[in-house]
Amino acid sequence: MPAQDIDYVAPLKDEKRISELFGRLEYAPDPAVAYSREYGIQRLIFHHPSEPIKVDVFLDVLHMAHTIDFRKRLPEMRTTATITDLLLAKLQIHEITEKDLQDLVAILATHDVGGSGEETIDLDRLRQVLTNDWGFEYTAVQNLKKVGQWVEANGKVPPSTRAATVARAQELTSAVTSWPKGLRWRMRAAVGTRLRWYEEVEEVERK
Amino acid sequence: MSTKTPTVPGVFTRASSGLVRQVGTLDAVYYGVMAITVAYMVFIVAALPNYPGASIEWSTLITTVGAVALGIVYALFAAVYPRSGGEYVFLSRTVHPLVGFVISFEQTFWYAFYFGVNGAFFAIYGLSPLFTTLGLQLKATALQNLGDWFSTPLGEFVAGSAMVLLIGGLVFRGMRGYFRFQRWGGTIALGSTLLTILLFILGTVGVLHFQQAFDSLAGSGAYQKVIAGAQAQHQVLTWSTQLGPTLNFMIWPAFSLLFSVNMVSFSGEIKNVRRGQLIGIVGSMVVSALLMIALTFFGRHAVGTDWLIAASTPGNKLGLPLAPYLNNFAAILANNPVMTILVSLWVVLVIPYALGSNVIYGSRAIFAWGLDGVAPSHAGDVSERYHTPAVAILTMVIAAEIALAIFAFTPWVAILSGLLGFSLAFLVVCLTGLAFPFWHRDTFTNSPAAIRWGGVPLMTIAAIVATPLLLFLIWRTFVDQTYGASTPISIVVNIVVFVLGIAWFLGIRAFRKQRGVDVDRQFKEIPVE
Repeated sequence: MPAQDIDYVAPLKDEKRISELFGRLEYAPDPAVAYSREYGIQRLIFHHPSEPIKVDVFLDVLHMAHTIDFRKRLPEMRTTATITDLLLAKLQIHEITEKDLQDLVAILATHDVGGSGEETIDLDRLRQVLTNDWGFEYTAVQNLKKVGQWVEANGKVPPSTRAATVARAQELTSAVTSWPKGLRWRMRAAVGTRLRWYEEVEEVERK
Repeated sequence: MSTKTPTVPGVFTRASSGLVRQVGTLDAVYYGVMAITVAYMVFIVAALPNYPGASIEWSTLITTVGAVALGIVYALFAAVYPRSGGEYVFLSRTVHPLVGFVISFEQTFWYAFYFGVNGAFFAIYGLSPLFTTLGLQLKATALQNLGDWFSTPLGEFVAGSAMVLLIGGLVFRGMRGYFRFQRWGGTIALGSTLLTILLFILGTVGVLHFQQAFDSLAGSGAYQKVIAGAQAQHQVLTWSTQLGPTLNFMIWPAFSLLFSVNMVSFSGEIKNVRRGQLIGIVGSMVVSALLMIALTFFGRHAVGTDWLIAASTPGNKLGLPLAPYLNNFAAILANNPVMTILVSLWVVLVIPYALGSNVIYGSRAIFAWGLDGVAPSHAGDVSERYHTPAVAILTMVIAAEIALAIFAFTPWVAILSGLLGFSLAFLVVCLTGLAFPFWHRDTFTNSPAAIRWGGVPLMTIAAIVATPLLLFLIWRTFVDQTYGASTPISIVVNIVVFVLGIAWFLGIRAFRKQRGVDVDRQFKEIPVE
């Protein structure tokens, strides 16, 4: 069974070439996104002509519940996004689903924390993104807590996977919460969850 | 996507990979304030002598109550149908496609008209007063002549055309940039409005002296001559608040305050579906009403209420080559060229965004028709570079240029010509809102608009409050002789637009049917955005 949901990150300047490429492949642009581009949405969505395959292309940034800026990361990526950026893409989700939790388990159970390689969870990158954004950090910590609870409650997960996931989720939570924070972070933290700390994400609909 | 029951609190079952809407609540409020166009106070105050006994402040306040109620109806519809395209989307899906199209067609016609006419207003009420007053203060004849030229038909057409093309171009380059410019322009314009109010307060408490400043420009005793001139014409100058004239005057603040509802043209892009439009529409109405009331109250106390009425009395002479506009009075009061520029900005910078709201509404409606197949499919074409509805915007620009030429070079149309059409459209929306919670019970109950007060849907309560205002406005447009809303040509054009809208819809539906396309099927679905 082919992948049904494929995500890409690309430079904004290549938008036209990307659209042409998917056009040649006979993918149809999603009208909901096409008509919103003028309002500043930096994202393209294409649908396969016959299979239920959806392709998301994030241009420069992933702007969903929280924002991840890829502009400086793109030159460092060879064929895929780094595991740290994949992790961030999951940790930013405000309304996390079971499928997202499964993805988080897959990332946490199979990748060490520390170091800056493409296949290890890079704490410097996490620090760079999360210490400037209280809302993102709050959501990320909540999701790390949820993945730990979920994996503990799920009997189908092999014990070694469960143990690795829980340990790394706790390790990341400790690291994230212990980093020194800037003034902006502390001011926003004082307001807390009384003010919405995430962007509302709409469903993409096709009629 | 998994459909299993979540085993951890706060885990969702719906997809989390959607889009983030881009227009924030603050941008929506700014847009609403600009669509309301506080700058219209310039000619609204000038209409006062035609309504002896009217209180602008009370009239504005009463209008605001009805306008807010109408705004609530619109905002709740937008919460049920958060899609771009204006009334067209929810009327075509809830009442009938014909009703949705005709109301949208009629609104678009008048927005195209005002897209052009607001260009002329920019010259008449913005540039002309600015340069004329500067010319007087600096004793620079060239500036005075330039100011005079902007109030000639050619000046109106040239400046108006430039503004139509500039705003059309800005909207063509995308709404992201438009909102960025609107934030800058809106902030400066708000500052200018507050500065003008501050000047009027200083004039009211006696720190600044309008009579002295006016006499120093127009000559000794000129202030009293203006009052004497109006008295010679038997103009009532005493200020009194009588209910009848105050209600009759509502046609003027209504022409301004009701129009923030047109942000439903981009409902699909506003963040916070539940509250964003409610705050945007109602918030902008309340902010604008407060500014309008403050401008009038302190303005008339600063210059003298009797003098304000006398200066605006048709046929009376000011003794200066100036029109009796609030921005001119503020400039005279400040008696300083730099201040003249600063207090002109609330007119000069707001009117362009009124053009913006006109072209945005109209182009989004035309675009939606193109997608639904009730206009040529090219109407739904999007610019490859800017992703904007290019053909729809171009159509609005062409229509605006024609309207501007008619306004500038012929006596056929007047300021309020379109108010009848707009009021009728608002009334249809209001009556639909009255019945919607009962008529489409399931849709309403499952929507964010299902707010009830004492068990009665808020949408119905708001519609009940707004309907009398709209009926009153429609009646007044037929009987009010001031500024020509009731001229035969205005009424004929309003009727022709309705008939043309009906003929267009029925004709294109029959045409599509001949080619095997069932247009009605489109209206059983909600558009993509």
